Amino acid sequence: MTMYIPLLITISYMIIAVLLGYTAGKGKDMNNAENWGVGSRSMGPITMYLLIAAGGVSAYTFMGSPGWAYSKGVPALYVVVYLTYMGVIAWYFGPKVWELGNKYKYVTQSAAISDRYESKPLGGLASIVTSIGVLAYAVLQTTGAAYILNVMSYGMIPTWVGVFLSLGVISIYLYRSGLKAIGITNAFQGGLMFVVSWFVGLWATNQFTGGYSFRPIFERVQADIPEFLTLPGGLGDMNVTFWTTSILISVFSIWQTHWIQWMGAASKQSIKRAATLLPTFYIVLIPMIAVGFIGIFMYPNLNNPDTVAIQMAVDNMPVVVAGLLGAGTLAAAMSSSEPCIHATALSYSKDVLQPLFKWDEVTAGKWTRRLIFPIMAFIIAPISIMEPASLVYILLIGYGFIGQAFPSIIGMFFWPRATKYGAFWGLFAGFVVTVLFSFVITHPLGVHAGIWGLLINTSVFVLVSLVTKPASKATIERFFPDRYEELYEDEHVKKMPETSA
Amino acid sequence: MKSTFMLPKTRKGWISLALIVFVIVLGSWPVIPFFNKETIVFGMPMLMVWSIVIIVITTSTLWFINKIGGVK
Repeated sequence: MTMYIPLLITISYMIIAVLLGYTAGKGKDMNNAENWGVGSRSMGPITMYLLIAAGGVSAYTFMGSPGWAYSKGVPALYVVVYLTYMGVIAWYFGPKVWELGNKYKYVTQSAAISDRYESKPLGGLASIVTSIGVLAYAVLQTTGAAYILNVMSYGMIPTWVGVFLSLGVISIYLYRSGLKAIGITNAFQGGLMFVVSWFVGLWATNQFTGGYSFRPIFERVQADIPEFLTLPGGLGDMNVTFWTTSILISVFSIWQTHWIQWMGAASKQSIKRAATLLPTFYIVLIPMIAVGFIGIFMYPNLNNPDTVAIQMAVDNMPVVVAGLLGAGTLAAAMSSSEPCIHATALSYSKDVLQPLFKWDEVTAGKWTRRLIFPIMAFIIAPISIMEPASLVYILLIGYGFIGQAFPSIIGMFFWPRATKYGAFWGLFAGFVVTVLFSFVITHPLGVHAGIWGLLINTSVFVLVSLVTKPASKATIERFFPDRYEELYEDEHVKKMPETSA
Repeated sequence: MKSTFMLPKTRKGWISLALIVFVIVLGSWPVIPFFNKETIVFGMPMLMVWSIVIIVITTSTLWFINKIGGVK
């Protein structure tokens, strides 16, 4: 009977998540895209902190960080650094995005791109292409959730049931409460992950060393496999250049999900306060990375490094601790996949279907939340069940492309001269180069393919923008109100003599 | 229309930009080789300690810029 306790704890977590998420949207009309999509822009700094933090810590991070520590060593720490810097991006861009969205009632990144570059097709294209990466990420998380349910049930819950179970749970509260549900469940999931990570990390350390200091673990690593303590790591595949460029491309990738989360804040100050403290949450990864190092000595011949923490919990830890780790990892998977499903439904409805079918706001609002079902049933579930080997490749392309949207975003806030042709051709060139350097000539000179793509993208973006017609004065005035006079200073001067004459 | 890039307009704005670039550099190529050593500090690999230091420095920097009002 005790063998079912981990599963009971994991299922209990799912029930609590449903209850919290379902009641989160009480009293609001969720057929309104503003309410369902951005939670009526009502979230305070604490909810924002946990919403963004838990969204950043995925199942891949929870399972992959110990997995990387197990197979490579310290290269696993690049995740800690890039998540920390994503806090800087949220802090810098979040309030700007919120202000713009609040002023012109955008709910998605693509809507802002459409408006800034005066091109609905460009916004629709951005929505569809960036959704490839977002959906691939949701599939990875769903696969992780199904894996956890399978392990915690000792194989009783097969992968396909696990996929439908985790998606079914998410669909209940996501349909009912939208971003409000994501906010409240991520707050719960974030708290759970933080506690579980430290609890499991210290428990494993105590079991391995008899104390709570990491020192004996790393002294053993230093004596036996010192290459795990420095870059390029145990597999020799992450030198300083690749470390740096992997961090930079992750930092430059402003996801549709991040954008929508920022929009849900009650004020600019809410985002700023939350993002200032955001890096502190990512200390959560340190104990899990230590668990990966312990695994090197406990399981020298593990087939799949990503399973090291779960394997250790199931084999050596009390059933309650194993159950908590299961619940924590499931929380990490769900907290990362639900914003992806939500953002894709919202963006497809507002940026693709509404302009295509000329829907009014009421029709678009009704369809927005219904879209989560076909997205889950016809895209995420079947691909998660198939577990295709090429998924990582899809994700690689996705990451590469999301990063390629960065120059367009720069053009939105910092460069009035940027044009829709510059944005389009820059995006296109960056995408082609990223694909080429991801699959054909892999990461030339040890520089991440996405960074090569971004270099070409930025060059094309600038050159094409300079030789094509900028957006209308009315649009420039709305996006750059403080600098409008200065931007058209020359024209005013030229016109003045004519006027006086 | 001028093709000006929007740069900070105040001294505080420039200081804030410089601080953000400095923080990013701390975790990147010019600085990481100094901490890429097998040495154990406070019971952890040097790079792990440095990652934690980056977290602290980043949060402190953002807090400082909020305080001086460097980024509106």
